[in-house]
Amino acid sequence: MIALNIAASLDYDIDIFDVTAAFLEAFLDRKVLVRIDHTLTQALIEQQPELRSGLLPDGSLIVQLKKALYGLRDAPSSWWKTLEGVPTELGFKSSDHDKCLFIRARPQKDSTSSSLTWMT
Amino acid sequence: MRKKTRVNYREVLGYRKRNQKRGDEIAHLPEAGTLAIVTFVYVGRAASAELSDERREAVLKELAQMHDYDVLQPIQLSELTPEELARAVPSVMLISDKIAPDGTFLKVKARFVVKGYMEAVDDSAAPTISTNL
Repeated sequence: MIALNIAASLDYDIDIFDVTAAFLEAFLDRKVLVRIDHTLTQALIEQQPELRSGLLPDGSLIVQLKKALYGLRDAPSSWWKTLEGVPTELGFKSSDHDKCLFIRARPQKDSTSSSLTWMT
Repeated sequence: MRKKTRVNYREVLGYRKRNQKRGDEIAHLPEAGTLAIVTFVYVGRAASAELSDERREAVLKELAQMHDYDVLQPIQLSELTPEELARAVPSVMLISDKIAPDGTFLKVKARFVVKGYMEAVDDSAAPTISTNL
């Protein structure tokens, strides 16, 4: 909201984008094993034969997660940690008012702030 | 793939009732006017032959996404402790038929999710944008 206010008052252009399957881009900082139901196992192994090593006698499959999945308790925070670094690297600073608002002041010319917002 | 096919609302509801006996299905109807899309969610029996072609296709597409995003990593069962094995988080494939309020069939969508609520992990928080002015 505040980003829209700033953009409106300073006459900024606004770009919007959506990250599809965001959680599948989020790296995990802990070891998570997932049990996959036997009804899915065959189709999955056809696509990724290397996963076969986690096959249990009852037909279900154990795999480890490299990245977060929907439903994981720490999926949103993992995504946040993954995403946060990007604007920071570009010289943006997270706003004290709203952590999801990133601001960068450009020293040259008239100071220009850019913003990035994110929501789950 | 079917597109914009008219779906008989009662037929859909009847289907839901018949299948509820199997105990593998959750049907969810939003109150009128609250949601743009009516969603029926089917849980389990994910890639089995019982599924309609459309639902099966949606499931395979979602599984392929796991591959595309390199989400899953193989493990050696022999290297796991029994505790680790017991802690493995159960997962389900949610399949929903998206139907517009006017009965128009939109699409089938599948989403592979984990039952993260069954995991003993400390709650973690992530910020979301403030909508206050």
